[in-house]
Amino acid sequence: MTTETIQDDLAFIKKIVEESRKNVGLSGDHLIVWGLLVSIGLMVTWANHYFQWHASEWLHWILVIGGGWLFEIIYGRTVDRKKPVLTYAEKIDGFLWLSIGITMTLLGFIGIGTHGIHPHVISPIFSTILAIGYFSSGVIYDVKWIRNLAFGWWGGAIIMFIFPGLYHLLFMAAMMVVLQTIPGFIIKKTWGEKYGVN
Amino acid sequence: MSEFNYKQLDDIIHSRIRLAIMALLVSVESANFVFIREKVNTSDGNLSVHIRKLEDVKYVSSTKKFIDRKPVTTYRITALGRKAFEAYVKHVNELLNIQS
Repeated sequence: MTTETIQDDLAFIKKIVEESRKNVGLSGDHLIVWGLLVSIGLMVTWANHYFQWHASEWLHWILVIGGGWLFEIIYGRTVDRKKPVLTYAEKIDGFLWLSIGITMTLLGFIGIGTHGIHPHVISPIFSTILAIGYFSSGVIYDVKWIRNLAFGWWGGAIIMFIFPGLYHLLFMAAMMVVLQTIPGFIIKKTWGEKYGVN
Repeated sequence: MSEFNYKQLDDIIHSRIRLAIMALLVSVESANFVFIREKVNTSDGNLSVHIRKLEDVKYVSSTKKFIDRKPVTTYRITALGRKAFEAYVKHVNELLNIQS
């Protein structure tokens, strides 16, 4: 064995490992669907209060959140199942967002339902939780602009905590569009084309 | 200058294609046959033979499932395989240090 052969082997290992890790598993689809569903849900809730429709908010949030989870199940059994490779980053990120989704669902339904959490603070609380998700995802995939979205969510949470009011619902809906749905489309365009994933 | 025993190198891993398969699988959670074939840049038959050798020594495990009625085999590295790969890289590095 010569030094060149060994160096060649190590360079070969490095190349394969780096190329495999480049399979960024960021999926814009999840962000787009959840962003649109929740922003519509928030706007309907705002309209329900503003125009005093007295419609059941529980029913419409069950439909919104249930629809989101149904999408996740279908997506997991169709698109995710067909993915040729699963990286460690994707696995960690997937479980991170799964835990965030479960936490937010519990807080939203059980937290508010048991009066443990006041509905007026649910938006800023969700905003801080989403910030954790974006910050962690950005670090996991080493994508700075995704990490920086967290500062938008944290900033929004500060505003909503300091200035309470019904406008929270529209403000949060706008944040869902600007800081979730639009980034979802950008991710879909960027990584969908680059690495053949959604 | 210290001696390096080349016999310490794992024969199973010490083949260009098997090394590539191991390097790929050590860096991901799992990968299917087609993905590995494209990354390693080899033929179906050649990959089958080499990946079978890795499975025989339990360095790699596989699961089969049907997607759109087509069989898809997914591979992942085992704990034993990871340990063997790390030992291989360590030995190669040692050899490099001795020769340089």
